[in-house]
Amino acid sequence: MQAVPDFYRDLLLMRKFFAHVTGIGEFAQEFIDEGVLVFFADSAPEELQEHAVVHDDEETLHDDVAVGDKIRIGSVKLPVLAVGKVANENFRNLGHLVLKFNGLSEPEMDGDVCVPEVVAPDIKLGMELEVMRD
Amino acid sequence: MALWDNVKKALLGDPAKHAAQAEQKPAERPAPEASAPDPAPAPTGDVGDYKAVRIERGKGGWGGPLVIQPTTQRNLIYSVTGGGIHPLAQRIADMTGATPFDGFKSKADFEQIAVAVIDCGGTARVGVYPMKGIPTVDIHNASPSGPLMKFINETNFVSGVKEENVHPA
Repeated sequence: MQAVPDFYRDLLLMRKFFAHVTGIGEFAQEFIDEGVLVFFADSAPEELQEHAVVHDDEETLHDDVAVGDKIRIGSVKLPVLAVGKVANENFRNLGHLVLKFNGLSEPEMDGDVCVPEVVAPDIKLGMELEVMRD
Repeated sequence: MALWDNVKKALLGDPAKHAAQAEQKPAERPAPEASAPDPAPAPTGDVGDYKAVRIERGKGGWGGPLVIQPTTQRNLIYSVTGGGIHPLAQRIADMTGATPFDGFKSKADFEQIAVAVIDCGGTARVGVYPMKGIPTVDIHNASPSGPLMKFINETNFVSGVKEENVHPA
């Protein structure tokens, strides 16, 4: 870490997860229309990638997502409002994140990560995904 | 001519009699033992030495029970879970004699999958496998939701399943 300038070191310490969008599944829009972004790492089986936004899982989640963290999708930053009890396990193991734009502070489902009720950002190939601690 | 026919009969036997015997044979075969009711989807291929299991919902779970009968064609217990073959998938494999398979490590044809075991938190995987016609077992307490919920019903999905919810059928 000695060689890393302080600014970048602080940035890295804040970061819990980082990836790029590498694919958008044929049926991902069905979930987006319901205010849900479903992510899977590109190691997931094809039948799951078909329904998901696929990413390269460049920096696998190394610290649990918690309420108050920020999720960045491209240039859009979203505060985390709630985290379901199996969300972190799925995120770490499978790069699988179910992001619900529902504004809830209690997750509906065990796999949900909830953010404010806004329109999900347009997903483009190469877009950056990041989770940062508060 | 008649003599020749008689010689043929003596040497080869009476063809008419043979035909009659051949026709009788299937009827003489003992009736097959009553087979188990068909699981969903209907098995394709031979049941072979595979045993059927009955999988019931666990506490707080939804759907089922499912009867899973692997066949020579559908003989994979497809684990689509984090951290390798899930112990529940291993248990179903042990009880049925079918092969555990890690869906995140390699690719399988859907026609080979007897059952999918998932650890879905409720939105995506719950629907994907029922949509593909594959009976689905969730270790978490999910119930139908999400855009694929129309594909999920009590005959193709069961959740909240623990190892003790799997019984010989």
